[in-house]
Amino acid sequence: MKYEVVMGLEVHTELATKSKLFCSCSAEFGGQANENVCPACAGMPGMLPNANKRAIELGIAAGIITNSRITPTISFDKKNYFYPDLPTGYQITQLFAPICKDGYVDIETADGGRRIGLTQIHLEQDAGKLVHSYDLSLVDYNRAGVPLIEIVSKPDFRSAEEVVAYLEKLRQILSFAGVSDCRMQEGSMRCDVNLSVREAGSDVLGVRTEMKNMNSLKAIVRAIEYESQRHIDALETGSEILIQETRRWDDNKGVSYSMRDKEEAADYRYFPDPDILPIDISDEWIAAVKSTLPESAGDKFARITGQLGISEYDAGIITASRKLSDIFDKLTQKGLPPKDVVSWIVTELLSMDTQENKSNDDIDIDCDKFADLLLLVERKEINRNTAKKILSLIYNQNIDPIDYVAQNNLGMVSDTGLLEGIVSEVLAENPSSVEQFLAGNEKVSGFLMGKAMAKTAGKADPAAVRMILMEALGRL
Amino acid sequence: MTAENVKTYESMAKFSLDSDTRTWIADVLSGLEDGFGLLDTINTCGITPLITPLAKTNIMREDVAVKQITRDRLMSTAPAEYDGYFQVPKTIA
Amino acid sequence: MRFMACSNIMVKDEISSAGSKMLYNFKAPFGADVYDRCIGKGMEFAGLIETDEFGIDSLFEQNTDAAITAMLENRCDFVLCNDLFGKLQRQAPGHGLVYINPAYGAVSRQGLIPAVSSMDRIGVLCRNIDDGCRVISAISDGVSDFAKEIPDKATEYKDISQLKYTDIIPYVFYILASAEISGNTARYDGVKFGFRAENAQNLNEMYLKSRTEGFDRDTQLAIITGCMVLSKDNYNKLYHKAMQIRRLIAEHYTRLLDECGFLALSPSVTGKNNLERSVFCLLSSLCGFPSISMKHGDSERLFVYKG
Repeated sequence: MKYEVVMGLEVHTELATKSKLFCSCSAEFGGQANENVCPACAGMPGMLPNANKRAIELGIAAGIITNSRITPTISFDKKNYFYPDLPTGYQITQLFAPICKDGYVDIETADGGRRIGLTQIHLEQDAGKLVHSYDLSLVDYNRAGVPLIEIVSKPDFRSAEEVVAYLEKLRQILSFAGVSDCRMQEGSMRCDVNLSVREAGSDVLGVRTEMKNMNSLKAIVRAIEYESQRHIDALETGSEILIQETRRWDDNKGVSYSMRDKEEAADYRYFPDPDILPIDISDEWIAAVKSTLPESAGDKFARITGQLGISEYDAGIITASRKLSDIFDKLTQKGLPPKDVVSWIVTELLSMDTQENKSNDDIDIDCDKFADLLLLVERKEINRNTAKKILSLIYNQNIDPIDYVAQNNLGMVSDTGLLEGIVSEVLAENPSSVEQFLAGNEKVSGFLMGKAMAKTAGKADPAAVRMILMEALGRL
Repeated sequence: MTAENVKTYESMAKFSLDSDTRTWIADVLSGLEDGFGLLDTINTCGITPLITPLAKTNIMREDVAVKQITRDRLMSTAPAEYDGYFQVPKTIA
Repeated sequence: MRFMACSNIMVKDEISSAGSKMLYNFKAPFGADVYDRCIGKGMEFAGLIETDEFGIDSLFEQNTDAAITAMLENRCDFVLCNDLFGKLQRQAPGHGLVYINPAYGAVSRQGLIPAVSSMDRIGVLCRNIDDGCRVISAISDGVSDFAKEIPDKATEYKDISQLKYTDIIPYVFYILASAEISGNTARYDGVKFGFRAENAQNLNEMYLKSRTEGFDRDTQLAIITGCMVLSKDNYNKLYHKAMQIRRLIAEHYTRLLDECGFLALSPSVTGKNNLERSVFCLLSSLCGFPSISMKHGDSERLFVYKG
């Protein structure tokens, strides 16, 4: 029997605002536990919610880049359930009038292009964090109340490959539009997968399960493979009866578990929040948001391959990541040649950190120092090998390249008189090599070149040494 | 409305009521049933719900982060605190 | 003027318990806007008064409210309260006192411990209209002049056929109020502040014990009712329907007020329970109309205005 896997995705991603959705606490990531918490987002009574305009605008931006219809008047609702990470006992979300509806995202896979439909995008508050240690649990509300969007797709996915392509596309378009940082590792982007399996060709959907807690693309792929197989086994052998339920993925063990306690309390008793008046989104407001959207990844790809002559392969790498793209922009704005910048990013910077699960968006480097380094190379003050070593030091230890070069006397030796003296010494010390060269074995020049560079401790401009060496040999 | 029905809502409300209170609530709710039933006598077809009497529009705030309260003050009223975290019993028995 | 406030109005660093064991040790991290405004006008604060838990009136008992007692004992010139169930409006005229409700939204709710967000409002229990109007002006941005329309005492009131929905108002009110109460009291769980039951073996037990021990019976009734009307099976039939009828009621009475200027009603009528007894006060709560409850000639009157 042939089977078909049918999946829909719910993607949660935190919006890139400075403050929370309904209070003025900082939404910045990190910091000490409960540092960015006020009475309102700790669930204390007496404070009224005050909507963050920027969060609404980022919701509008998400709608624009996903080809969605923006709802003319949006409202907010309370979703009631008890959990320590939810300080008020309800989450403010959008059930009745979500900000976006009926969008789509086009993806590319090895099998060609596909269009993934979106049911809706809604705004809501993130929850806090519950940390478990031995015999107690600890709660941190720094993330509680941070604005999120939840992007709900139609059941349009048929393979894990499509799911990955979709998530990468979402990350690209959302991060380029400045809607979200989409960092999966830090939990700013999360994904739940609704999955069912049916006989190929059938138009009836099978029993659907929802999987949560996948923290990386790899985990998502593994979870989908595991869960599809569990469904197929159940259908084929009858070993297990499938029920509609929520399951938690355990990536260490590679299995999914039923979350029965979650089912028990599944009546969320949604109702409109009377403390938050509806918000009108005019066509003018949408147009204003649209006009301030930064260059999209697609436009950037076209521009740098066209005007700047960057290869499609390199441009693809640069525009797949908002982080790399920003580094590229900052370095080129300092007057560095775009092609050199791309080469340094793609071949050098990306080889700095090849840890598992690290994405190019996780790369963190001080762009000013990176630029200073490349300017030293441009001005021939250091050679490329030295620069590579210093790049690694900037990346790992955040050293200052200019100070470092000065302190370690790494400046390129370009004093012609000095280099001529070194070349003379090398020729005097290696008479047999010189003889071979004069007998027509020109390859020996490489050996002599290496000897000369070694005498400068690798600091000389190789082009200058080569020229002086060839001149000296020519005079013999 | 029976005591058994009340139990369903107790679990939503995170209560575990004694049987006297549960019976009392069931009795009161039974007494309110006729009143709630009056809603059926009104035709509300096509009527937009009234969520709040305020006819004003929402005034949003600019995205500026402001520190409202120190962590020490926030945690000073916590029933149990550990190293700057709110402490709760283990989630699983 | 000396004033007191019900303990659901927060005063910075004072224990503002809203009459609930849940908040028995809750020192408010900031003060209510109304409190700051009164202090700003040079009024003298004489302390917090215990209130029915979160201002939720019992459906059946008719004990005298602590705010009334404080006034009768002459401990202050007025009390700031949130009389959303109409208890104070029912009781005030009988003790020669006046209760003034501003229009919903006219007075800031910042620092009011919420019960029913769409009806909560801070009103004034006082001795006479002039005092009340002075206070309302102090705590709101606009000047309150609706009280100038109090009619001549000799006026007779006749046409009551226009008073529609009176049988249903108490129940529409309780459905909406209980639902909002269930949401607004979900934050009291023993995790972050206030009461936490002892000896809980795990998280769920802590929730159950804290919430069962921390609320009184009338609040638990309201919360259970709220869960019921919001549950999947009842949402459309009860909650959504009640919000629709609320609109019909508001539209009808707004029209009526457009014609009449004000309505002279009774703050307390006969009924099976306190909801029915408070029907016209609840009309004012549902629609956010400003109102004054007072002795008027020989009658107890609830004057309702459009606001």
